[in-house]
Amino acid sequence: MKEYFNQEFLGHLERLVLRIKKLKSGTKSGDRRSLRKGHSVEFTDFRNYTPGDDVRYTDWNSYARSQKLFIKLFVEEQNVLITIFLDMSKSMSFGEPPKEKLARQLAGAFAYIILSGYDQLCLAGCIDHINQYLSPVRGKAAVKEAWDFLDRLDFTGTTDLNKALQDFGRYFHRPGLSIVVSDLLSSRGFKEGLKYLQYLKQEVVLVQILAPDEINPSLFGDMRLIDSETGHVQEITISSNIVREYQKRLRHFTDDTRAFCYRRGIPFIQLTSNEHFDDIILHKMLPQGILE
Amino acid sequence: MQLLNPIALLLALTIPLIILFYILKPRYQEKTISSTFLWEKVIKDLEVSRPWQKLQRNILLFLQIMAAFLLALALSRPFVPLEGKAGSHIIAVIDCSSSMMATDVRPNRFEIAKGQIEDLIDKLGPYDLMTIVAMGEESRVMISASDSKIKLRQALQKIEITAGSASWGPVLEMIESLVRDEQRCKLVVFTDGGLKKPKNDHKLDFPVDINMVGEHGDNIGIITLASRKHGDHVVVLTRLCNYGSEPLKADLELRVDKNLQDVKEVELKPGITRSVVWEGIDSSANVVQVKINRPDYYMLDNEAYTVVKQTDKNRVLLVTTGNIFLEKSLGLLPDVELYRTTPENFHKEMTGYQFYVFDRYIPAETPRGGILFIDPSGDNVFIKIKGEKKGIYQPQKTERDHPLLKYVETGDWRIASCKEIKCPAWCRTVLESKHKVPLMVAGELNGQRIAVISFDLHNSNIPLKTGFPILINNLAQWILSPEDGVVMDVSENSFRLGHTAGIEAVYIEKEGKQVSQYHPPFPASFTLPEPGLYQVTRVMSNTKKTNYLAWNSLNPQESNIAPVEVAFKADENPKGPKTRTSSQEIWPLLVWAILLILVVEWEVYRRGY
Repeated sequence: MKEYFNQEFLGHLERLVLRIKKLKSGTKSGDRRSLRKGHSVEFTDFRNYTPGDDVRYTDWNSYARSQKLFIKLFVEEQNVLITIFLDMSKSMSFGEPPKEKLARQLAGAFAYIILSGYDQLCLAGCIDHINQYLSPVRGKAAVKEAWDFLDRLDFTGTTDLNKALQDFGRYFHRPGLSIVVSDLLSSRGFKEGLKYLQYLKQEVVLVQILAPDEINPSLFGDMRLIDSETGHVQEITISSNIVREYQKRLRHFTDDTRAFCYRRGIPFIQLTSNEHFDDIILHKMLPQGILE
Repeated sequence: MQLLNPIALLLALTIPLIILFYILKPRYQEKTISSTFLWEKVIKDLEVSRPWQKLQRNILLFLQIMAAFLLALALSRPFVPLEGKAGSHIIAVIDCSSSMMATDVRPNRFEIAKGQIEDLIDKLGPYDLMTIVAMGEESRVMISASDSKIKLRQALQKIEITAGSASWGPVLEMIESLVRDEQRCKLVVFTDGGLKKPKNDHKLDFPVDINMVGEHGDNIGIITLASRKHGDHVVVLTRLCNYGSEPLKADLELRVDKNLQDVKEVELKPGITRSVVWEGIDSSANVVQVKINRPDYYMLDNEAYTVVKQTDKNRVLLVTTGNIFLEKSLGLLPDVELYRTTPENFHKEMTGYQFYVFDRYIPAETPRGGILFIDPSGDNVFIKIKGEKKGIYQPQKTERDHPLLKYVETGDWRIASCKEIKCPAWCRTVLESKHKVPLMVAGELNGQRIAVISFDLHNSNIPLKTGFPILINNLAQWILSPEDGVVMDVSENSFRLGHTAGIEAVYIEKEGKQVSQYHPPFPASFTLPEPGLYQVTRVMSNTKKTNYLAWNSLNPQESNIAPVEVAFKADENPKGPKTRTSSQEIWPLLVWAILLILVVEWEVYRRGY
């Protein structure tokens, strides 16, 4: 994993933060600002004193001016559990370059950003269940552990994101952020799984990675197509018409996914495996508001 | 089913081509991809999920629609009206007479004529029709008003030359009926002349083109050949004629039973006929052949056969007290030796005669042989006599064409009295009175031919009438005719058998090779294929009988092979409009278009547009 990132790029990553619309409460204090008012150094507001309030937070200067008791409110800074779900199906190993490479890079970058921000990171490799799992880690010291985990992942299974994400409920019930990285090319679907994540009070980010060949197929003529995961055979005579029809179908699929995500408030980003990683971070993630 | 354009069947050759295209279709190429998820959806969209979809701009669809449309159009056989030159109806008549065998032009006149007709067929225009008629003794329409060159050629090849002459009259009558209401006809005749002239004067109202075939008339031929027994030897008579324009010399061979007997040198001036006689030929001779030993352009008349009659003269015994009419009539019969005796001198030992005539007398015992009873009297085993009838009887024929009364006119015959006889079961009444009194009966009893005249010739006017000698001749012919003979027909190209009872098979051979064989039931007439000497063998249960038959192609009209111009009256200008509206079918073009579309479609499919 180290070979993917140089020091300069890691320096860029350190300055980035995963943006979460609603700050979830964490169990440990961290760098992330919670929506809850708490006890920290950053002032946010005043409120009237009510009996029982901690007198330490009384604003005596205001009392001196107005003879009224006000309580100072401060932003509570907490850490958040961020889980990255990586699709480990065999279809991810296809493409030139393979989709898995970008998936690993992306997960590695996210892991670095998360751990640099003192958030808790959890990694989960999914096939039709959670196949590989890295328990929540925290702090930059865990970056190596996370990257090693990513290096060990083997993309050979058969995807069923719905099942795999529902499987996630067995591990955590804490609110947090879930990043799902997959090609989504499975007849079993993924929407139910994403809904379930939201049900678990997860803020979800969906990243779809497609190979260039999947967007612009170079297949032609009488083909017997074999599904890498299921072994299903589809005989088809591919002509330019058929290719156009395929692209149309892919467009519908993407539009449908995007519409679903929009309805559910899920940021959705579609990537191609041959895109430059820097570009993805700088020109897609930042404009999309996933990173800040 | 008839095909207007059989050559179109060649289009079937494109079927293997189409099959080849499909054989060449590439096999599926296997490819493992990340997921077939989206491809499945595409297939479903295209094939299954939407039975009806919005028409897409697809080249294959367009081509298939166009092919289907053109196919439907082709099957409806569309045509476009054309204003073009009117076609002619050419009637080609080919002379099939034997003179067309002449070889003054190679290979012979008939083949040259056929070749000229083939040229005519080749030159036929798209709207021309042709009829081909074979002109022989009887004319045949080989093909009528056809525009198919293939069929015309096939019909032409079927025409064969005949051994007889060609008659012009029947052809003209046939053509008149063929083209009665037709316009723009043209008659083209291929002949060497020498046609039998028509009985009626025909004048055709369309042009006639006579194509003369043949150049030279150099031919010396046999006109007749006959033989007869004279005493204990045979006399042969032959007549020759020089039809050429130069004096000719030729050696004339005489062969008796295939053995060369004599050679005579004959010199003939142009147009001169000469007889040659050989005498003293052994009476055992069966077949005599005469051959002109000189090649000329017409070899058919250079040899002839005659079969020597093996029977001696028939001996006829007339038993009468005196009947000058009868005696004279019998004495006139050819091949008959007449003997006469009286009833008193007749004795049953008088045998060896083939024909007995008993006039007003019936012996107690009759000899074996044919018998004619005239005015029988007394008891006998043959005929029962009831009595005598008197009165004027006018005889009537019981059958119009009875062979005994052939060419016999009985209208003015009168009979004063006759015996009242009863026609026995083995007889048939030939002549009877108005009141059905039999006057003449005839029949066959135990292989014996017997005729009975029930009246005395002296009591009638019959001997004074012209029919009497004919009647006697018919009676003698019938009674003396061979029971088991082989009789050549007048036309000479067929023969009949005297009777066919007991015959198990008939073999016809020519020059030692079997030509044909027959088994019961036999035809009334046995046809011979070509002129020549034939051997007819009749196979019976225990025996075989063989006869020779000679069919000579001796016909002075045909032997005179010099081309003779045929004068003919005909209109020179064809009638009818010079233009006409015709129709041109365009389905062949459509078929080619469909074929082209199929090829384009295959290419489009292969390229995946």
